[in-house]
Amino acid sequence: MIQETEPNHTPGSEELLRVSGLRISFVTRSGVIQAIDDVSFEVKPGETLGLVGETGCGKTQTAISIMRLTPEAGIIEKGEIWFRGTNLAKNIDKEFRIVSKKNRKVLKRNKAKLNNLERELADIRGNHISMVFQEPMTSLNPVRSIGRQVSEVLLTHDLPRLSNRILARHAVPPEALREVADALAHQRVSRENIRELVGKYDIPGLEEQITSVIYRRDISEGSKIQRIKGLKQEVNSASLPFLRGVSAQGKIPAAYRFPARIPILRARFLGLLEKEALAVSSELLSMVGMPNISSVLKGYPHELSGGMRQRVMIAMAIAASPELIIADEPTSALDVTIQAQILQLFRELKANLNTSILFISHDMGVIAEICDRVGIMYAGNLVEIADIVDLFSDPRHPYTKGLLSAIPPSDRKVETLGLIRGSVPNLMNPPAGCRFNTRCPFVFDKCSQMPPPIPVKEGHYVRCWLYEK
Amino acid sequence: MARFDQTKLTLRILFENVTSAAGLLIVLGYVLIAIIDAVYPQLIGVVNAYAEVPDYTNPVPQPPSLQHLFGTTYPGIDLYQAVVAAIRVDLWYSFVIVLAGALVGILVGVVAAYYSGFFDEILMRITDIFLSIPYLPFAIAVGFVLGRGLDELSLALVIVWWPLYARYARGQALSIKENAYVEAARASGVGSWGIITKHIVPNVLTPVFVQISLDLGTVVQTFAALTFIGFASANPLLPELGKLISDGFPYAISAPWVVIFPGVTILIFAVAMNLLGDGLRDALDPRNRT
Amino acid sequence: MKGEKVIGGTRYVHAVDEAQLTIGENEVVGLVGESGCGKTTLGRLVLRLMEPSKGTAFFLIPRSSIDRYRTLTAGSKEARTIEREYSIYRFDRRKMKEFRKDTQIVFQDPFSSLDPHMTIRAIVAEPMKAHHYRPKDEIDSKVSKLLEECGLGEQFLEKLPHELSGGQRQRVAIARALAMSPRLIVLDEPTSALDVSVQAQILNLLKRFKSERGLSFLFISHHLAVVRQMSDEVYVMYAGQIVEKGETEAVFNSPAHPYTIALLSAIPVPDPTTKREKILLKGEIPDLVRPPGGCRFHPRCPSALGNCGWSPDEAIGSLSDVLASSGFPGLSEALKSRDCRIIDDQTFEVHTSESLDASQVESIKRAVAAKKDNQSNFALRAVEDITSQSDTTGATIRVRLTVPLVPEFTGLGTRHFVACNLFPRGSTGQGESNEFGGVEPPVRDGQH
Repeated sequence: MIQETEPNHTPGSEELLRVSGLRISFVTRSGVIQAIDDVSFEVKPGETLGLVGETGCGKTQTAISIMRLTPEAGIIEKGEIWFRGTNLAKNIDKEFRIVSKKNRKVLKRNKAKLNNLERELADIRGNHISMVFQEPMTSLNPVRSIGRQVSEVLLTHDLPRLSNRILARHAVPPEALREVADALAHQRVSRENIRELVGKYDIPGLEEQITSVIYRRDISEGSKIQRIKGLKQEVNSASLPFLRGVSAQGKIPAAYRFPARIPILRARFLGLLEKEALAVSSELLSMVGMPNISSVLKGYPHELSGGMRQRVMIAMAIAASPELIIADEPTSALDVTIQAQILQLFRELKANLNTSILFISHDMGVIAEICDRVGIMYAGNLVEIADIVDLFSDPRHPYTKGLLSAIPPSDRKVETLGLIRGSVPNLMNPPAGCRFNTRCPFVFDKCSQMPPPIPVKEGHYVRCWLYEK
Repeated sequence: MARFDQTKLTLRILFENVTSAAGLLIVLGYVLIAIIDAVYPQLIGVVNAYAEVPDYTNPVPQPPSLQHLFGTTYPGIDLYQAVVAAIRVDLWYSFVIVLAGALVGILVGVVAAYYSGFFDEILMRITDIFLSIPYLPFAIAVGFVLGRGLDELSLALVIVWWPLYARYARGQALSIKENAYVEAARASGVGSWGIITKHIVPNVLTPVFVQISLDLGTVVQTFAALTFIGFASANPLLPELGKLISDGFPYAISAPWVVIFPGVTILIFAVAMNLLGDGLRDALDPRNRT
Repeated sequence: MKGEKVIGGTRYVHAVDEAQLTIGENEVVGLVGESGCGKTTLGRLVLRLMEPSKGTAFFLIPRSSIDRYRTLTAGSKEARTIEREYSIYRFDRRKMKEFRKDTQIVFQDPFSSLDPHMTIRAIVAEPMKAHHYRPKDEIDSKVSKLLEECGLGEQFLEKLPHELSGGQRQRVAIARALAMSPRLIVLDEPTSALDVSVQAQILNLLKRFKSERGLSFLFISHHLAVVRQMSDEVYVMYAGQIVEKGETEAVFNSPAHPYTIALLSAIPVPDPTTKREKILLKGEIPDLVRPPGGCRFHPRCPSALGNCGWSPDEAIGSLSDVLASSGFPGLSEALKSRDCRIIDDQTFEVHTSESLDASQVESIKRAVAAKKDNQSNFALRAVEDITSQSDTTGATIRVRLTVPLVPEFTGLGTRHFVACNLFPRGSTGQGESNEFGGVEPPVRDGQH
């Protein structure tokens, strides 16, 4: 029975994301590929979980299935994906099924159900869960300016934030701003200070704006003080009801749906929001360490280098303040020195934003730098999961051990690198039981059954019969 | 053998799609008719495959009947036999034209792409010049100068057709040239000619093949159009679809079948060839082949 | 040699600049750097898959000839005789054919390096056919043997490339490279597209072949750990220039060039407990159409000196900031909007309508001296002198910069050289470049 809502879990409980019993297959002309089998894991709020594995292990497919972005030929056969109290996979048995046609399997889709799914997910994607992809050139639209692309995320998902900002600037008394600016100029700044001051002068809507000015890296101290003082901005009285409507309803009020788009009136309505979105985009780009922000906003993806494009992608991913960011090999296409910059950026974002990250990579070094916990995947199974220090110091699964020994050390020269003999099995006909049993040096008869996750330590689970109690 | 499996896979994908399967079957049907007509015409009821058989005793075009399945056209020629024989003639000329054009075009395009630079520029400008020639006035001019036979017509069409293949093949060859296996071949000591013939041309052929199949439909129509306006074989009785239409044209109002049957024959072939070409393009797309 | 790629006939990408490389017999030389550093271009030049704009490459040249060549003046008759004999860019067809037999290449992308229409058997046999291997009937058995040595069984002979995995394809590429028993194989990122475990298999395979067959490799990679495992000597490249070279252990254990140091510190280590001080480089890898002058690394270098190649353009930005904060907003604005005159590569001027006395000029100089330790203002280190001239229209400040010094190689140990102005020529008391001093390798082949 597929659960629609969690029986004993209230929203806001310990886990942000829980994947359980996930099974994904791909129906192709030559057969059914059992890409992912019985994968379960959780991500807690503020935690960075790494998913590591080699080609074909299913890490990318697992991650994109969370947002139900599995490609056309793929189907989630079983499993639950719990996010913020809802099971995103609740209708999978009605959405598609595999039927046998002659002696081949074919995928049948239920279009109506899938369209419903798309509508539900539109609210989640980009908003509560966002993604950073590996290849930034193909993930950015080449014919739209950077400013417009980043703004689009905000205009789609976070309209009230924009209107609230504008309204707050309209309503604030200028003296309050002057006092805040003076106070900040004379003492060391932190987020707590800002919160205090905002509370003291009763200007809650401005907290975000003041914070982002203070934390900008591309302008001088003097400019920052000036900017805070200049935050007072009157809004045209015709636009006020529109903005209030947006803040209240979370979207463009029905009455304004048409007028807001008429070219002449646009500037008063939609145009205000677009300008604000651009301003927020500028703040986001500053947060991700982009140089020359004003020219970047006007420019296009092809004018940027790989590292800069990746920063734009990250800015778009954090724009709507998601609870979970899925990063699929975000640094694999970058040079080593640029990768170091981007990883540093991830560390800063982790510290400042409290977002959870699901970080996928094949590079154990990168994982060691960024993640709090890590799961090892092989041939569609999650074979081991542990805290980061624990996994590297005390790996248990034979595959994990083999993988770690195959990494060429950068601090000394070795005679031969560790090997895992054999090769990855064909997932159209995976081995019965533990899928590593064709290559495992410790295989014995019980390995023809799939072992369950066996706890070997606090928070450390292995799917291997060697550790059966 | 792996390459044979590739062909089987292509056919399998083709048959999954109804329209391209239909296209394939119809085209094969035409080819079959043409072959039988050449080898053993009596099998399909054709008395003389190389000439229309007039019946001066009954010259007025007769509507379709049991004796004459498609009726008759002036002067008393059984239309069914004429059309069937004409299929062979048209198909033969069309294939020759397209293949000859493709051959010349591919050669020019691949060589231009491989050597690039000034040589490429010159070849491409020549191609452009030929590409800008409108086929109809050019064919008429050729007919005027060289004579209005079917062979001269074919020559005119080949001259107008090859630039398209040159352009297309050059584009493909330029991208194939950048592949690592071409560089590897050079590092292995394979000479320029070897690289062109063994690596570039075979990889160009696959997409060009699709273009050829699409073009066949067009060429049949063009060929028929030109014979309609007056190109004819030295043998005045050689059945040919365009000629049949033009012969029957004066009687079109009172005896519409004389133009309908040859016309529809051309139409069906062109449509089928188009469907087949589209289907082939989808079938050969690497993304559909897993 | 200097290699250039022409774009559109009017602009040049200075892909490789004044590179010198030596590969000895049965030696693995690693070529390391990030994208756009020119290592791929250099690899192609070494095999004459590209033509250089300048320079030569000698193949199988005896030590005596190389020593003699170095003493000759360029263009002299004797020099040209040696070039004709040994330089691959002067080889005629016959010699070129021999060269293609003796050298081979393995590419990065296992997907596009095999012709998708050819069977594995045909792919491996191709070099043998191109060189007219005799006896012909033994070609097939040799192909089978090569594939077996690379770990691929009989069943692969008739397969097409797309039926194989990345690792298997790379094995085919290696088997093809070994077909005519070459002496030198260039490997351009051979494992970068492969998984870690597959990479380990391929690297072990390569190591075995090197020792069993006495091969030499030019191993090009951006993956420093891999290069460390495979190479005897390593060359570090940045933006088309070789910045450091030497015995692998020496370079990795005691890196000297700031770029090498930053590169090594940037490698993520698979150990969450190491807290290594990472040097984060600012900025991006430069565009090679207009590369930075002097040492091309200077705009990003955390230890840049005044003579590392700063241009007026670079100095103007920093100077403008300094002037703004030291009370000369007019001058600062003028500089910022480029309302100034660049006189030559070392000098520029800016005009202001106010007058400036000597003490004001002194305060500017003091401000420059104070700010130049901030990495974003390193360009100020190049400021040699600031003079001012007053007239009726106001005052003109003239700034003169240090003449850039292109760093040359200096020895740091027996086999370790660095090209960096932090190590000026002759300062270390070790040998100069162009020789690997100390114990000489039994170099019978060399590529200069």
